[in-house]
Amino acid sequence: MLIYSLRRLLEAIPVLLGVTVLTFLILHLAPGDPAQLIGGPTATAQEIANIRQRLHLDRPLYVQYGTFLWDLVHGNLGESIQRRETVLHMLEVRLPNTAMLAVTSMLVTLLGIPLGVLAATRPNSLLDLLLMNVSLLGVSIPNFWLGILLIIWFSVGLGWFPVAGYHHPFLSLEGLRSLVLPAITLGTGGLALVARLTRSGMLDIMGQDYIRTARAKGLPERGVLFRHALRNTMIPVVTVLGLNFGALLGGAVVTESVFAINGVGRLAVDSILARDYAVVQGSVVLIATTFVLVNLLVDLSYALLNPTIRYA
Amino acid sequence: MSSSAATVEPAARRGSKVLGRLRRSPHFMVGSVLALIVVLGAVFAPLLTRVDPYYQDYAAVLQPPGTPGHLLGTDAFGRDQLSRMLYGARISLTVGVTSVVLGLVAGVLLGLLAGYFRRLDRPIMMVNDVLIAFPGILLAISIVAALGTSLLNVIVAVAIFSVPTFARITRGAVLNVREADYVSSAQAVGSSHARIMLRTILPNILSPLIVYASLRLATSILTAATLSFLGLGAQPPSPEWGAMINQARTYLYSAPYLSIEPGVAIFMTVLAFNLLGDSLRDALDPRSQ
Repeated sequence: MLIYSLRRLLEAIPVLLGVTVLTFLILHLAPGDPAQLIGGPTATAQEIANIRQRLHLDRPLYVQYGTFLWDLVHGNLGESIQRRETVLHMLEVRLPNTAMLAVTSMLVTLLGIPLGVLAATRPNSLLDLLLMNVSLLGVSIPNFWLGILLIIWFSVGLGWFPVAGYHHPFLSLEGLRSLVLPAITLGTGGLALVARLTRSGMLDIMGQDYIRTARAKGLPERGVLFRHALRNTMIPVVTVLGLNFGALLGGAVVTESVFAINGVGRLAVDSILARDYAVVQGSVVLIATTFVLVNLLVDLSYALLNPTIRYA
Repeated sequence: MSSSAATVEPAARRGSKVLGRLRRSPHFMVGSVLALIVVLGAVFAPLLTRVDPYYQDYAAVLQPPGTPGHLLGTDAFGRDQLSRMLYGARISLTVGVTSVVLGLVAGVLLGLLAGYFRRLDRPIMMVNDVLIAFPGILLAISIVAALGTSLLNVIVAVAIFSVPTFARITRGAVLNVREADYVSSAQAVGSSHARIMLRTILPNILSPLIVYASLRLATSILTAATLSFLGLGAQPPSPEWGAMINQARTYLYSAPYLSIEPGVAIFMTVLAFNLLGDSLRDALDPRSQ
């Protein structure tokens, strides 16, 4: 297990390096001169040359990447050209909001497991058909539009939840109310996916011999369902949860924009529109790194779910 | 085994079986009807409405749906919503189809190379893994960040966003059939590598690609709409659905229909292609149900 964990950790390093290379290249090979952009339209040739020197833009690309990587591992992500603030500080301020959004949406997504079990215990029933068709709708609904619909109905119409923003601290009535709609907006797609997957996995497993044996020896149905069937359904579900975490992080960009949440995703979009590349670079690397690490954890969790998987 | 067995079955018989399964699938029927509505709306937009989608009528701003002459109402500039929705379908379908075709061609070529030539497998799949490591639409967003905000760049971004998955699916399918007898026979008679990849292998791995392309069409339309919603894609006054919802956000209190209507259109289109993709997968591979 330890060897496997170390190997997976080592395998994640080239991917993470690749993420930094790609992000760096995408933004540095973009058309347009960043020095001109930072200096603005009124900057003189000397000012632009100074900016170029300060940001090492006059050096070869591989040297620039080396400097970027060196700074990155030392926690220096550069400075925002728009706000004169360090990118690291900007991310630190916004990360808790994005993390809260990701965690609460994951909770909504996890509701898909009991729903999938419920559908699988009554295959082809009205409940099953309803759940599965609703989940198909859930996969197809644009999450930014779902967010807007929820705002129209529950915030504008009924006044139950705030229209926008997070209220701090989260552990207050106002704070919790502000979490509900963004979490539903972001979690619904994943919930639908997990419900469908749990259902089909459960249906597959319920026909297996060991389930028949468990029933034959007189185990209560609940025990059969949760201790035998569900546990074996969980590996594909956990894999998808890990992969879906990527969609969740991508979706956070959109959800934060809909609900005006001051998070990392919204920061990325705002910085793109302002062409503040250091901030875009920092937020993209942070989000992608989180995704790679979460998938690493997902891989490592397989052993907990299924001890028969032998690593070496 | 299964792939060579599948090729033994005459293509015509297999095709009629698939069609039979599709005809019995309610998901396929609903998906087809929805897709047909969107496609017909896009193609016949000029016949279905006489109003220019860009025409601003300041005497008729924010008219609610059902107003005579404006079935779906008007926006804050007095532009006809129905006309904008119909012309918006053209944009969404064009962006979706173009980006999927571009992503498909590039992804399939990379997947064929990675699956067929062992030496190329590792480098191609490493780059692929890095691309896949970008969560959700973040890769598309980063590409738009570099290229600038425009609808054309959205097509490029969404196409690149689709490449890694097409490449992975193709590579997996190639690995499955690489050792099959008909591939060895083609090699034995001296066919060129390009011919084996494109004429021998590709036709035999089309099923998963067709299924994924139709599902990807849904994702691409959704991603493009999302980018425009974020202000990174189509710019005002374009009647792109995502951009329309973005502009309508100011009127959530006074004119919520401005947000609801284009959203229904995106939802319907995405649902249509998801249903078609799902039912195609079930019909081509009944075991997947």
